[in-house]
Amino acid sequence: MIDTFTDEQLDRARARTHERVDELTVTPRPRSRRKLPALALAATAAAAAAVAFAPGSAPTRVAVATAATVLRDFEPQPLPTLASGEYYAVRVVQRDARDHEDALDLRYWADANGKVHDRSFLDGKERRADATPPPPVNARKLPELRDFPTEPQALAAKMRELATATHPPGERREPTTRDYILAASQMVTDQRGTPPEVLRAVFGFLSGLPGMKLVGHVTDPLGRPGVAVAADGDPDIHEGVGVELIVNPETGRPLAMIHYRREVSTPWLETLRTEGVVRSTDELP
Amino acid sequence: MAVTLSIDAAPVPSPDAADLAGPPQRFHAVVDRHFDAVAAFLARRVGPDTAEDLAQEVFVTAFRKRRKFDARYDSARPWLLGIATRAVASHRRAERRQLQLYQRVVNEGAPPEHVRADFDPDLFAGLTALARRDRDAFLLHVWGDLAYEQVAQALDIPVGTVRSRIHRARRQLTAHLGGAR
Repeated sequence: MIDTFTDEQLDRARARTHERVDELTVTPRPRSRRKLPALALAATAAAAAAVAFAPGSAPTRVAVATAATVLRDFEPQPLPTLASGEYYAVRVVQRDARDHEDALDLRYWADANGKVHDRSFLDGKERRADATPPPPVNARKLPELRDFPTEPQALAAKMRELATATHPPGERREPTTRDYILAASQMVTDQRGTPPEVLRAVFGFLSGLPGMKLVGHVTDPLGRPGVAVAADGDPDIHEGVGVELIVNPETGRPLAMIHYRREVSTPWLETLRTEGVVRSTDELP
Repeated sequence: MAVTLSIDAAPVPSPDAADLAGPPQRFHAVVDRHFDAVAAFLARRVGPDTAEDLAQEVFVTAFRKRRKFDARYDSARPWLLGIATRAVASHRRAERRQLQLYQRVVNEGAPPEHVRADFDPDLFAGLTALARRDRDAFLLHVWGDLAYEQVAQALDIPVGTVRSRIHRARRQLTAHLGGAR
């Protein structure tokens, strides 16, 4: 027989469901018509946001950071030039947020000629290439983001194609912002380093999408500081699963993509990227 | 002489129909009546860890759509299992098929841990080889304990279509298992 719930899991899930129903049945408070608290709130929010001060004695101009401005401000650093015997190593780990042992661990090493050597581990055990059946003949391989164009119109068309390709067969609708973030999250899973001009173009494309949220400064699941943007999942289209993209503000390179249910603060599935130059295919970035 | 009066009383709504049409707080009674069955169905389909989240999503979705429940039906369970089935499909397509990484897992034939543990690999392979629509109908019938009419209600398809899908699923599974089971 297959697994089923433990009594504890069942009780916890049922209790949480009752809590969520309670949350949905709470009557929203009437809006306050008092202006002064509203102004105070706005001032507090402005102060809490990222603030830029103009130099010298010019009038101070306050710039409030948004997801769009943050995305446009990322400055992806160039990829290193590999010397002989060096590899650009990429490690992508996708794991259950609550059970880190439940993980797919993909490791790639690209040499100076772009030739990629890879190994993969599932739940800690290495998977041998000859031990797994070949993919179905109709399996579609998603393109690497590094191959995408940088010209805005061509990139928009490519992003739309990628976002639409991830829809299930027969589902015809325009991609949502969440779909586009998920498509752009290919930058987290690229086997090789994504060129900075492509990253910059993709960030620029994302900055123009509606409904993108700035999560702000965060620490990714590996403890690395980053800046995150996110889009919630539509309850009907995405079953409420949102996607968060975390970028290293220093290098302008992606650190992680987080799938979350309900709140961005409650990760559900984590995809973590580490990359860098190493000197052997036994070495991790 | 005895006189029998025939009174066409107004139909009494079932407890589920009454709770779904009533004030929001009454939805808790629907959760209490059906949560365990929906959660067990989901656990069998996607594993308990994922089911723990999905079961909540099913009831949150049901709460939001509770006005759409057809009060002519006695039990809300088929309707809830229909939402659960769509949640499974959406979960799979959204979180496995869309992701290159999960695509690799699926394509390379590595079933999830909860399935690998003690599930008959032949049966699992047979189930995964079924067309999704056939599999959904079959598992609602077998694991969801729904009659054909209730499967039709859950999937919003004619009962004849349910019969043909389940028949096709059975035939393919039997063939896959070598006709021995």
